[in-house]
Amino acid sequence: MTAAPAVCTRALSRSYGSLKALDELDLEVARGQLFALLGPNGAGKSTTIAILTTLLAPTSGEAMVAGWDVVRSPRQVRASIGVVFQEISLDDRLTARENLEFHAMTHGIDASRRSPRIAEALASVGLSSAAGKRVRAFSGGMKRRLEIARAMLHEPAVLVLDEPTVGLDPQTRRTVWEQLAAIAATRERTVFVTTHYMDEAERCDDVAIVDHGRLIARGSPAALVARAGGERLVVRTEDDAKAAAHAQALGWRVGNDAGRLVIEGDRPEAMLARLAERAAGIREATIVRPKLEDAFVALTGRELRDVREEGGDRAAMATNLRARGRR
Amino acid sequence: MSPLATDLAAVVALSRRDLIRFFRDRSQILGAVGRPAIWMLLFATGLHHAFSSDLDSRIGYKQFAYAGAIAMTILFGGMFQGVTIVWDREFGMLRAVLVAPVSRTAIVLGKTLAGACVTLLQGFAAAAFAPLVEVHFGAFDAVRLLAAMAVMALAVTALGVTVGSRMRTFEGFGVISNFVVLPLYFLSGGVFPTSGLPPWMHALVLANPVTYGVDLMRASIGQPHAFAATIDVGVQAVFATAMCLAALGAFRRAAG
Repeated sequence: MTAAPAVCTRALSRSYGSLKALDELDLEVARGQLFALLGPNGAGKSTTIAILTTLLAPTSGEAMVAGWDVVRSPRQVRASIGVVFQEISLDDRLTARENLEFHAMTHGIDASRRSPRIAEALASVGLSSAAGKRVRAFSGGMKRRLEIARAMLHEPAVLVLDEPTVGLDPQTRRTVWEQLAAIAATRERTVFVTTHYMDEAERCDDVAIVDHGRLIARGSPAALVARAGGERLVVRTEDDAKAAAHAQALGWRVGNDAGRLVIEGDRPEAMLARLAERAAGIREATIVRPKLEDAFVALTGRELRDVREEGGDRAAMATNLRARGRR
Repeated sequence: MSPLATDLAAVVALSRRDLIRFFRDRSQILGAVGRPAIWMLLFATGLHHAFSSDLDSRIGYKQFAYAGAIAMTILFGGMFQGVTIVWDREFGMLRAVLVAPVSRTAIVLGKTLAGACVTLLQGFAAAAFAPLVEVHFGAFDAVRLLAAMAVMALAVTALGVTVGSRMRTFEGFGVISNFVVLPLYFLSGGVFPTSGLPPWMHALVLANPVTYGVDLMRASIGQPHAFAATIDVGVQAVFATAMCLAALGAFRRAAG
């Protein structure tokens, strides 16, 4: 059983009427990884989570978690997973400790082990002092941390989190990710997280990008980024023709994008210094390092809707890239 | 822990949770005490003087309405417990329970037992008003009354869970539960005597399982009653079992 991958799906499909939420998804996640399932809203992430957590039956295909089939052995699957849902699912009339006691009792933790496990779990997310407080008085961040403590309480093989940082402030987002990284760092557990935040996916060991219920790319963040093209230098000069000639003389590949020279190469800082020596009058220079988002755009031809609100620059860059991709 | 032990622990956990929630909710406690108080003091005492002549000569309306007021408390209380199913789904807690390694049967049983306990507590509060309506009985009768109340609480809560499992919204639950509760209550012989009703209405009274619950409560405290206690007990047992099975079926269908 220990040799089985943490998660394995084969031709996993789920339809709602004529809509295919999942369309023959093949996915294998090794044990001990911090894994991100990345995709826009409606890509099939939540459907995947619902199937992997035994809340939804697949229309066809199969899914295994920790070696157990979600349809044939749902109880073993449930015993192997700790789940953090997108929406808070705590009982806010109960205290933090009572919530964890409830979870311990429904997860077969022996009475003698409950107290120490709960104390340990609360300490791990920095909520020891709030143990006796009712959850309704908690902030959003405290609730989420308590949910992570709860999901870890029964020491599951796979920790499953569905967009765990949506609606949290930046500090809490960072705290949550530090906790997830710490959990994954032990390599004892697999952390399976869905997100539509690129910066979060970049922190993972392994990323799968899904869209329209299909797997469209898979690999480490670095490998995916490499697919979006290398680093490049973008300059605007007083005499672009002259600058382009210089660059070509140095053996660099030169292109043009919206009135700017785009020079591709491995070390754009050094390239900029050498170009400045020869071609006077550089008015503007930008070094572009592709991010996962660029990979995503290159692969899907669209940016993540929800990321657009986050930073105008990045969105603008993504739009540029998309325009180029169409040519 | 073995699967069975985990299931049992889950039943205890669910029951404990609902009891904690009940005792922390002042409005629920107030409602549990207030509703039967209003019913017995204002309604029953008022009607006591209005039509005591039509009743069995051995008891007045106040005494007649006592078992009915307890049944009302249990009916409304038990059905309302079904709302916790809707509530749990709405606020996610149910999903957290559904991904726990416990059987669906244990979850339904836990929810139903928890609700029945809370409902029975509300019934206790109603039953405690006995002296107010000049109903008097001994300790042994009190135990029999509580047993009759417990079976009815279980059956009605299971009915509430059945309805709650099929509902997606609070509003829907409110409408449907009133449609179910009001006829069960009015046709139970708890509000007005069933003798002299038109035949169609009398047939409905006889078909209503709550009728036998009210009758059993009356029998247990030595009041005049319509059926043999064995019939009352039999009907209540079938009612409770059938409702528990219905709750299980409805919840399984809803939860997948």
